[in-house]
Amino acid sequence: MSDPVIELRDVTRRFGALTVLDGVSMSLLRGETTVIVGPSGTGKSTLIKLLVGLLKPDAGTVLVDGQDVGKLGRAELMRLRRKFGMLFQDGALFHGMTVAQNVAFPLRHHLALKREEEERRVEVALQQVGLPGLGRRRPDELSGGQRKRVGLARALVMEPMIVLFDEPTSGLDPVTSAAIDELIVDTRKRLGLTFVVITHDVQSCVHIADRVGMLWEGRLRAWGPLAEVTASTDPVVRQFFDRRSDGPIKVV
Amino acid sequence: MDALASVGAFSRFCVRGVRVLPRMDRRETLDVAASMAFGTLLVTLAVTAFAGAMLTVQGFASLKAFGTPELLGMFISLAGVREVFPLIAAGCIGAKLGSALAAEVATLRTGQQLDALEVMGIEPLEHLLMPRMTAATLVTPLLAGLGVLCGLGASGVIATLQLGVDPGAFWARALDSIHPRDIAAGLTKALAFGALTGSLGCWHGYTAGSGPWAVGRAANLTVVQLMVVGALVNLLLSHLFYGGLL
Amino acid sequence: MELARDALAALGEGARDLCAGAARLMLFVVSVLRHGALPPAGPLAEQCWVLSRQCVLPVTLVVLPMGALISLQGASLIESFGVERLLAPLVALTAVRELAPGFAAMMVAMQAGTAVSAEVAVMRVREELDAYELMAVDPLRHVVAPRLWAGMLVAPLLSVLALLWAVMGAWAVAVGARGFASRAFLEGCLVTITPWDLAAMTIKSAVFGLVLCAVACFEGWYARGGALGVGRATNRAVVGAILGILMFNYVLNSLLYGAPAVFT
Repeated sequence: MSDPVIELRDVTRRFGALTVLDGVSMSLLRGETTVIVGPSGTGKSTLIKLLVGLLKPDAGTVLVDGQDVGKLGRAELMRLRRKFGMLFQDGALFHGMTVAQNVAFPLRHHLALKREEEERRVEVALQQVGLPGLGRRRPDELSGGQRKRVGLARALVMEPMIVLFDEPTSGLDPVTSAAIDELIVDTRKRLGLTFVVITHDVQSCVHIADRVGMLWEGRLRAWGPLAEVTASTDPVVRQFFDRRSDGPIKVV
Repeated sequence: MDALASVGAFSRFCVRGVRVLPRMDRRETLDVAASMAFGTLLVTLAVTAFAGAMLTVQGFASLKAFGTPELLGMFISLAGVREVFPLIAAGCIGAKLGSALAAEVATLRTGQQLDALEVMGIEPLEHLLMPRMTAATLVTPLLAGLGVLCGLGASGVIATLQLGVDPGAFWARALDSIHPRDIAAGLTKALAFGALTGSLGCWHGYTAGSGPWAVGRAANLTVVQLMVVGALVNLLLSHLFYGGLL
Repeated sequence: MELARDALAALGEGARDLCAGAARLMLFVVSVLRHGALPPAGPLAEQCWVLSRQCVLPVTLVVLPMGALISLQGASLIESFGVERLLAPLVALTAVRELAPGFAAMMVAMQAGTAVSAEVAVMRVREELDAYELMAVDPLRHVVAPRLWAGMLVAPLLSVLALLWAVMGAWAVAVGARGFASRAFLEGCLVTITPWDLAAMTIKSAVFGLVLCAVACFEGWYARGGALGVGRATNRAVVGAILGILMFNYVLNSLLYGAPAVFT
């Protein structure tokens, strides 16, 4: 249970003159939920895009399952991405398709399944996220929480090795947020996958994380098991986890 | 029925707009008009210059086939100055201004800024919409006029420098064939087209729904209706000025 | 004075943006061709259907009055020369060479500039394009390529439709209002239009359709930032579409009709 499935070594990424990630190194272990937290604008989204090759690092290497993401050609990258599922911030559901077509989308493009088998797997995926029988709805008829659940079903349907979550609780009320947290914990227990979550929701982080990394000003400020990070005395980490406005993190 | 209802609502919107005209924000109107004019000038001139060049080259070829190449100046005035240049200029100004207006106002609608204005007791019609409609109405004839001049100028350059038509003859025939009526017709058409651009753009922006979708939809409805209604209005005005339709 | 300087500055900036934009557009089209020259059939059929449905009625409504207008103005021009028999050839040639491909292209430009660009832009700002990438389905092949092909296939069909409507509109005015003989007018049109003219019209509108949809997809693809970004993408696409028609009309006319190059 302890071999690293994703490794970042001194990863740096700039946008123009702005250095968003500055020499970040971390190893994410198989079967764990790693939560990356940090204030807005500290490179969390950039980090997640680097993992799947939507962005390339300017320096350093990103290894996923032993492959250097930054050096892969397009065809290899496409193959690598089948190991990933991702829940986008607002679900990123395809607006022209029904819920079932959305969930079936990766199946249809990568596996030549019989219609009944495809329908079965879609229904199973929807059941896993607590939305059985909603397949005929359109994305704009769903609530924010339902859109995220459908997004998760679509991320899980290909039985990926790693699932990425971009702000899974953003824009949701506290009860729905808690329900999404439960769903993440349950799903991970049941499927034993590797989860990577980026969020600035401290409560959610405490609820779901095995391991926590905190990004601040492009660097990894804290890194370790949940209990260790939440007990840290570093003023930056304390300010963030205690939700205070006074401290080293400046509110712009 | 739906279509009729929206035409009714659109007319009421325009009437309300005209009513608040005395209280309209004049400074905003001028600012918007200036930015519209500068933003659209380049594309209008480019389009009409190309149109002038094309029309001259093709017209010259046809006239030569009939053995009357010396009539080129007259042809440019009758075909170009009367119809082609104003039409092309107005179409291009309308598409650019109309889609930009609709997108701008629709963005304010989706971002709830229109609601915010109303809550603050600021009437959007007086401070946001009417200035834009008025500016579009005023700027379109101005730009279309420049466009016609540019088209005519481009024709002259191509005819005399490239096709070797005698400059004196070309300009004499061209200017002879332009009547004050042509200028009046062109300005009227441009005014009508500008008013249509402004009001359609603001209307579709104002009535846009929510979400990023609404922005594209507002721009789309504006340009499509503008082209369709504009073509009809153009035909009717041509008939009013030159007669001969019925 | 200040006004003149502002105007010059605006002109210069516009020209610079235009060149940079054209270069990036080329790169975009090349990458579409490299990654997904042939689109999957389903999305292609869907895009063709959507584009035709959006364009057929507006093309009809715009081109009918335009046909009437050339007939109206052409008749006065031609009556003053006393060569009435030339009205039909004049109408037919104008329609097949400029009016039909031009207005078909204009309608595709308006639809592509606002609807296609907005749609792709929405997919970008709502991360749908990233979702395609992440699921290892190439969005260039599945989203962009079908739209480019739809533009290329639908625009020629629209131009044929526009040609029919233009001649109809012209015929209605010539026969109904100016007392031309119906049969002679229609025969005059038929005789004037050669197969080569039709072929040239088809080629011209296919190129227009491709270019316009490419501009629209390009602006949508690089959209950023919510509803504002979608609005910006549509504005840029509309202007790009107008300039695109203009430049390609000139280039294609020179190639197809052998009109002498204007700037040598």
